[in-house]
Amino acid sequence: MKALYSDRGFKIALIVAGVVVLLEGAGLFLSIGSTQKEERRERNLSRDFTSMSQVTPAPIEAVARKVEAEVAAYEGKVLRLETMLSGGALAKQMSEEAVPEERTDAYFNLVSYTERLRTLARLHAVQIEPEEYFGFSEYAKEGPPKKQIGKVFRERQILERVLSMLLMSNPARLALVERTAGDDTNEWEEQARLSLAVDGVVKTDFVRVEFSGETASLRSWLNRLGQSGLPVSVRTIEVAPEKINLSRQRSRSNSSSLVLTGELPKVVPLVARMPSVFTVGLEILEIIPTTAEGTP
Amino acid sequence: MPSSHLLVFDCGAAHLSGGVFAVKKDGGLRMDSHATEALFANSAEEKPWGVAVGEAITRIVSRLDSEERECVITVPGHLALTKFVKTPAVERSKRDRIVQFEASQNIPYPLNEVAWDYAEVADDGVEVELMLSAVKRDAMDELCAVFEQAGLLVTGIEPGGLASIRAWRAAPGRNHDSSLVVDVGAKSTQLLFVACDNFYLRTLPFGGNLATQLLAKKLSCELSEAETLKRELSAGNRSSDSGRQALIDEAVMEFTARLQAELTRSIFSYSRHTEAETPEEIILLGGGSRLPDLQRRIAESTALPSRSLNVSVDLDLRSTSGDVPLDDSLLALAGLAQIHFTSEGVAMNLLPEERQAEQSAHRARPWWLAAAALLILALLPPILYLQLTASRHAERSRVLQAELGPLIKWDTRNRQNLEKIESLRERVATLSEVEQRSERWTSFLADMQGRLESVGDVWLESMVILPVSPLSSDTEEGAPLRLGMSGKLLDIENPTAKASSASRERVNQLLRSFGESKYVQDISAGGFDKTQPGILKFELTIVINREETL
Repeated sequence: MKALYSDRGFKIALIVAGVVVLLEGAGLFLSIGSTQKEERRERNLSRDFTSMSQVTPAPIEAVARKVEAEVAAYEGKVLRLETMLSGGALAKQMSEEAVPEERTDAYFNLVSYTERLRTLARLHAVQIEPEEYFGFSEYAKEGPPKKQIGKVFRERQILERVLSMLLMSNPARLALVERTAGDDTNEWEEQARLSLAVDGVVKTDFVRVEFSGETASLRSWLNRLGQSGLPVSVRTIEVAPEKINLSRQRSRSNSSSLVLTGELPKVVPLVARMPSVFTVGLEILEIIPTTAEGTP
Repeated sequence: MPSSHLLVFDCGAAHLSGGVFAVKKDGGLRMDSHATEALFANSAEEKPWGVAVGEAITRIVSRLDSEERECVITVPGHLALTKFVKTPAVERSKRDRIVQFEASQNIPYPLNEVAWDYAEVADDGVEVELMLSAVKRDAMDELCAVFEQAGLLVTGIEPGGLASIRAWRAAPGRNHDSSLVVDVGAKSTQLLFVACDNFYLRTLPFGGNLATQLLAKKLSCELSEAETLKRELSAGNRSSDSGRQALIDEAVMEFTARLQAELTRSIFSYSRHTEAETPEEIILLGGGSRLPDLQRRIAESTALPSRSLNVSVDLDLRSTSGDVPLDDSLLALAGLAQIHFTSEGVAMNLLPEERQAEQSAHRARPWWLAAAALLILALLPPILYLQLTASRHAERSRVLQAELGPLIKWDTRNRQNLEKIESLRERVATLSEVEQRSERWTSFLADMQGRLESVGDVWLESMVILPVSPLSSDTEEGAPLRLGMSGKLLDIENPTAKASSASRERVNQLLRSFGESKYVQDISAGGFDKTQPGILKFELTIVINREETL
């Protein structure tokens, strides 16, 4: 073997051949790897293609257009429902009102709200407390914090319409208007149990209105509310006979104790008509808008 | 692959013969050309043997007109040491070691200083008779170098005697099974005992030059003059001077007597050799064998028929050129050619191992290069195939990818839209529920009022939402809404009676009516107060239907 490699040219030729073989070996190795990789890729793509042909709905343009049409139909339904629950045209009308920018403006906005309702109460002979602020007593002396101006303003807009409808329904007395305040959940526990709030869809604020009068006032008010389109929902109604002092009974001789009536006695009443106290829990609804992807 | 022609040289002590041989169609040897050159003009010439051989090679090669560049040569008897030894017959694999041992014992030089080889003469299964032959490595290197200077590569070296033995064994003109071939050279005489199953070779340390020296001594003349005289004698010329002729005869007689004595002793010795066959004839060849009366006297002394070698008859060789006389050296040349073309007969190679290895390597190199090239080429098809396969897969993948692209796009869009639909469907359901529940109190109260009116003279005085009972298994959120109600029923027909049966019947009718409402899941009467005449006070609890919860 020593003699075999004694020739320099032969040695170089063998080395070159060895290098070429090594390179070819490396090429072969890489080619095997490359072939296997391409084969796997083709197999995967072929499998994907087969799977894709079995996909439902079929991934073709005609089907995709149908699905998109279905999406559009659902979007239309959602829009209709959201518009309706948000107040419809009334909501648009309310949104056109200028929101106070400063606390002072918000304060005076509430003062004028209170004055308007007091005037309306006087007009309809509805008895109210001398210092009635119609749910916004916490802002009797100063406007809401700047961050809450928008929210308070919207609640004011809605409550003004709700209470106006109540006052126009001729109750005998408006005893109480309460809004959700702070985190005092115990006070609103019953109402919260029946709340319409749904995470990501509907946000609500609670309002409680207590008034006395006849069932007709309640019915009239509820009918007005139902027809108004306001984003307000009646959540609780409780009725109790009013404990009447005689002076008030005299002053309101035509008051009745019957809340939900059948036929009233027409001749000599065996029972006197007694006014009722109605405590009505309301929820102001706020629809949480969907994102662009269609999820809340 | 062996060449179709072979260039061979017989290197004698005083001559160099060359020939180009080929194989005839019938398998016999064909001599294409032949030439012989005397190495020295006279025996007194002092130039080294190697130089003389070199000069002769050039002349012979030009005369042979051969393009062969490889040749096989013989070495003269005086350069080669030959020994016959017997060893136990052992396995072939072990024989080389035994021979190595025998060589070290019988060759009087360190083995690394000689080129040596052996040939199996006979093998009876018990013993193997070997012929060991060795030459000084320096001498062989020098001889090879001389040939290389002439542009020839020596690929094999063999003792001339062994080549002659092989040729004579195969000679068509051989008439007897056992012969003694006597090759009288210039410096040595080789006795070749050739039998069917074995052979023997003995080299006598004198040759024709001894006759020359004896003539010079007897005639008191120069060696050159004596050499000339010897050649004239060999050609059959005799001196006209009777006294001088007598001295010449004495010298020839003396040489012949010495040769006769060696022959007799050698024949006797050979006859004692195990299984040896006594020669049946003596064949004389070589320049020294042409002395007058040598053949007759040898025949007389050995009592064996003697004759000179007739190349054209005995070897069946003819010169293609025709004008070149055939000489005795063709026996050795034919022996060299025979082993080359037929591989029959015993042979050895005294070419130094390094040179053999170098030549083997030289011959192997093309094969190695061819193997390397083959390996390189062998790897190319799989690489190309794999590349082609990979590109086919890639092309098919590209087509699939192109087809899959739109499908994936539409599928992705469909999935997104289906998710969107699901989300919107849930939102629609939620919003619808909110919408329905926001109106349900009004509907519930209207339903209750209708049922009160259907009974008549009955009214509700209070309605409260009852808290979830701590005893209930329902959670606060999952608990059905329970309303506690109280009311009064007016008994107009019996205004003075306390709770007439008619009043009770009407209350029950009211309860049944409430119970039929879709908003009511369950109803239970709490108690009756019949203390007031004409008025029946009642209390009841309504469980609102979960499906229609307020």
